[in-house]
Amino acid sequence: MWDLVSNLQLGLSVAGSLHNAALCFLGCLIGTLIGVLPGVGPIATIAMLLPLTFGLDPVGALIMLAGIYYGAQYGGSTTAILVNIPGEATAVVTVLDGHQMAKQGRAGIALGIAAIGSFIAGTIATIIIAAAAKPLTSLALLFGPADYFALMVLGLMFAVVLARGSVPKAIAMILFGILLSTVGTDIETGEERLTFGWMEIADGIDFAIIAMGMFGFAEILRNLEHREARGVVSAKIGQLLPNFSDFKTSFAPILRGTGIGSLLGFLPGNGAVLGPFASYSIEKKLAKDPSRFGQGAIEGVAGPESANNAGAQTAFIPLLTLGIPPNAVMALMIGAMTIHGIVPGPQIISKQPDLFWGMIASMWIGNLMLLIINLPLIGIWVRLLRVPYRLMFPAIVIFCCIGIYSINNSPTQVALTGAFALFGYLLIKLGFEQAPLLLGFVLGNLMEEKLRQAMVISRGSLWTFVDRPVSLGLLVLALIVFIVSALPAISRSRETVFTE
Amino acid sequence: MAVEDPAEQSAGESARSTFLNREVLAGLFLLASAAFGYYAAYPLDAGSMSGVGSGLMPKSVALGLGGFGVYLVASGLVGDHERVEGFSLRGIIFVLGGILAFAATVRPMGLLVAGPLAMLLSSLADQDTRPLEILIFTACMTLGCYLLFKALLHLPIPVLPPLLGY
Amino acid sequence: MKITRRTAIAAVAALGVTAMPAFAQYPTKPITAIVPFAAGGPTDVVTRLVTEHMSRTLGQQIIVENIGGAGGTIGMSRAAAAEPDGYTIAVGNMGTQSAAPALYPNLKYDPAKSFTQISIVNFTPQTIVSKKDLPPKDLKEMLAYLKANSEKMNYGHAGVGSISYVSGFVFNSQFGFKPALVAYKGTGPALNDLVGGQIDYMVDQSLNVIPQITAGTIKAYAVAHPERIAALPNVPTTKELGVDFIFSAWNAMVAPKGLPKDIQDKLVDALSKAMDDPAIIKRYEQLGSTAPKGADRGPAGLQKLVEKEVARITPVLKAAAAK
Repeated sequence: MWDLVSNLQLGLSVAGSLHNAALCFLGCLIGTLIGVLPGVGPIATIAMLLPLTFGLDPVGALIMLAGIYYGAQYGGSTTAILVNIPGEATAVVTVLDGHQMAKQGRAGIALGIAAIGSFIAGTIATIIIAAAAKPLTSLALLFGPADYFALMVLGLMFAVVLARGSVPKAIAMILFGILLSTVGTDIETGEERLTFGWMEIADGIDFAIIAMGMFGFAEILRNLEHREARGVVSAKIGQLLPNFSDFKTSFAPILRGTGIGSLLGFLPGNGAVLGPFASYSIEKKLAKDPSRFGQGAIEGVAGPESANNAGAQTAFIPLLTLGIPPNAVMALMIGAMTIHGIVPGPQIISKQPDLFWGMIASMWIGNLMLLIINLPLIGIWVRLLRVPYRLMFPAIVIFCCIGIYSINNSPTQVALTGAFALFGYLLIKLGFEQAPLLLGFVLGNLMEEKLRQAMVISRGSLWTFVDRPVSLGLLVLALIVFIVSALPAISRSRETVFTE
Repeated sequence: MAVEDPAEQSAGESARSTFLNREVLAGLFLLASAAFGYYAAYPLDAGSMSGVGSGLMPKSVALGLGGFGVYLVASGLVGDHERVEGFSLRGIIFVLGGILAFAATVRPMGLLVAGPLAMLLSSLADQDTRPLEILIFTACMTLGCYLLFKALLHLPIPVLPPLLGY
Repeated sequence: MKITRRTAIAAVAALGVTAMPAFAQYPTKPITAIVPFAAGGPTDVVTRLVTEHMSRTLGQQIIVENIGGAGGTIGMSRAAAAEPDGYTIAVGNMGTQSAAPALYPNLKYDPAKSFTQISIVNFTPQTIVSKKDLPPKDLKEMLAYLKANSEKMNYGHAGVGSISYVSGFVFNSQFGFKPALVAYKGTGPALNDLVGGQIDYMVDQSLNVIPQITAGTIKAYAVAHPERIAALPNVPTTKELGVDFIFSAWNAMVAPKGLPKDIQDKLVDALSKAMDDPAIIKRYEQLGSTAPKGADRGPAGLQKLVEKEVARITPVLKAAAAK
């Protein structure tokens, strides 16, 4: 216990030094501003800003990079709320209720609760990391491919709950998303799947292309069609920040979201992406009036955003304790560390404690900075929403085009985004929802990879899912979730039959 | 109810007569996509249990999609559903046109051409667009983008190859 | 219209004046170095290291452009198709410059013919590693254990075309092992499962495994290199154990075909100076890498390596694909 306190003290002294605190602030600020640009997600932001850190000392550079990361995450949520574009997989759920709130003139409240929820989540997550990093890592190592697959199945069950409208259509969208995720080069055989020989998608369709096309551009097409519905942000913006009753409603979701996000964040292989989806589904299930979800329910922003941030923090655990990156962003961080001469690995805790604890402390400081930076910015963002739509949407177009181009310097991918815009518009017209498709897309890859790995390791035996306790438990849970979610739908239709 | 309400009857008839309603079209779309997906995945080997092939996932998902397509078509024909609202063709042509214009010109002509092209072209999609206003706005945005992405972030995006060479 | 002689001479002179400096004073503007992988990976790290030094020698900034995809072949195709004016160079690795022809039938470049070779940038020897609890205590025991049990064991790799895939293939086929191949999306997840004990062994670049070996979370049997590497002083080499398996991953700097000789010389020289810099040598050691020496440096050394590796790797990969 006292160890923890003294370690945190060491960390705070490192992170709190004027030099490092300033770098943290700078990182958060730049990360937020760049992350806000529609079309630019956290990975693109960090990759862009990586060279900026080369002249700095290692600890300072890492603190700045971490700041850029959280800032970009939060900036991505800002874009999701303001203009319906998720910068990253974890922001997809924020779009659902967040943007609805913005349309109702409650953008400030949405942004505010996202910031505050993220801060609370970040604080709790930091404590978790500080106290339990090593034990958590050992826990994560127990997760084999079979267990992971079961987790993904559980994740897909959440989509049934996520669905606003027709359940069959939602499931169909999940399947579609999975189909899209198979496009690319198969990791096991090296064959190109569904690419028609097109090199540009030989590595799969980038998430940003689908997100930008189906959410960003398709939304523009939809708005252009319904000229009366958009741009009418209520003349009286009303309160800018969340008030007490908003807090009361959001408090429990924030705590639940933090728990879920922290748990999933340190699982290797990007488990953190499930966090917001899980949180949203749970909040919807627990709410007294689930029909509010999808129409601007504040819990639908508070929970997922907290899960988001908690997951982003705990994702550093495998990085710091094992030196193994759990996702693409962390891989970038490792690269940055290597460039600066730090070789990340299990020994960082003992050999470079000031780095380890400094980073952990700076996580908390970074969260604090984000709050300080973003709350005042809310006023500016909200005012930005009043820009006439006829100017707004060309601006979105150019930002997104540059954003997509900057991922791989590929004009073809920009054009592909246009194709997805058409596709997304078509889906809207036919009454399909986009969120389940993105969930399917994000999970599809992971699911298939884990399924095949598990099958190879078990030499084709399906029993492996039942033999392993973790996998068995998760599959049972998935079944329960499915039944519980599908049951009301069945009983509802039964009721209608009876009343006729 | 032995005697049916005549209004209900005719309403039922007109609903049934719009058999190309949203549900049916949605289902047909799924069927088409499923077929396309299965066709694209056809050469892939579905493999065996111990060696799940690259074809298993795409093929089975495509089949699942097709199944849902059939379900939607069926429930669309049976029930009473809304029609698909009209498309905004103008929006599609100009916004997508702007995006494609950007894609086509960004490498040969650079950001200073592709950016304004994308903005101006897509702005034509909106009836509210005012010429002078959008021209000035485009100029400012392009300059802003140059400063942000090129000068500040050093993104390797071409600026104006024909004139500047980079 | 009369074109006066004066106008004509002036025009020719103007042309001459604008054409000359491009060659005489290269470089006059920033150079782009294409890295066909994501930022932060082994190739990216070493490229940023050396190009930062080269920038100082050449007097112009070298900007790294990451063009990832298809195992690095998209970026290298872009490089092969670029203008040979010295302002676009690229750094590929063993995968893109030797294994690619066997793995990608529609490859748009030929590693031995489509580029002007500059030089090998570094060698990273492969290390034979296993999960912590694997019974064998040293390489000889390991080879025997594998011979008896390989069909029940799992070999992890980072995806078709990755270094761990290619070197694993060569290793397993050379000794006749037949493990089940478990594919991962990148080295991170593969290493993770190795540490967790879900897979049994891997053959991968030292850079990736050094931290784990030093911390004891995985076991190292040997380094597939003639000499011990500085970062792993306690790990024996295959050579000293009498096992004939030498395999290094490598990165190489190239330029599009048709580069003028004097520009090529400038680049070769700048890179060579970078590789001799003590700070960079130290960083190389940290990463478990070595710089090429003597005859291995320069265009001829690289061309020889490419041809040798293509000849060595292609039959192995083709045989595997035929199964």
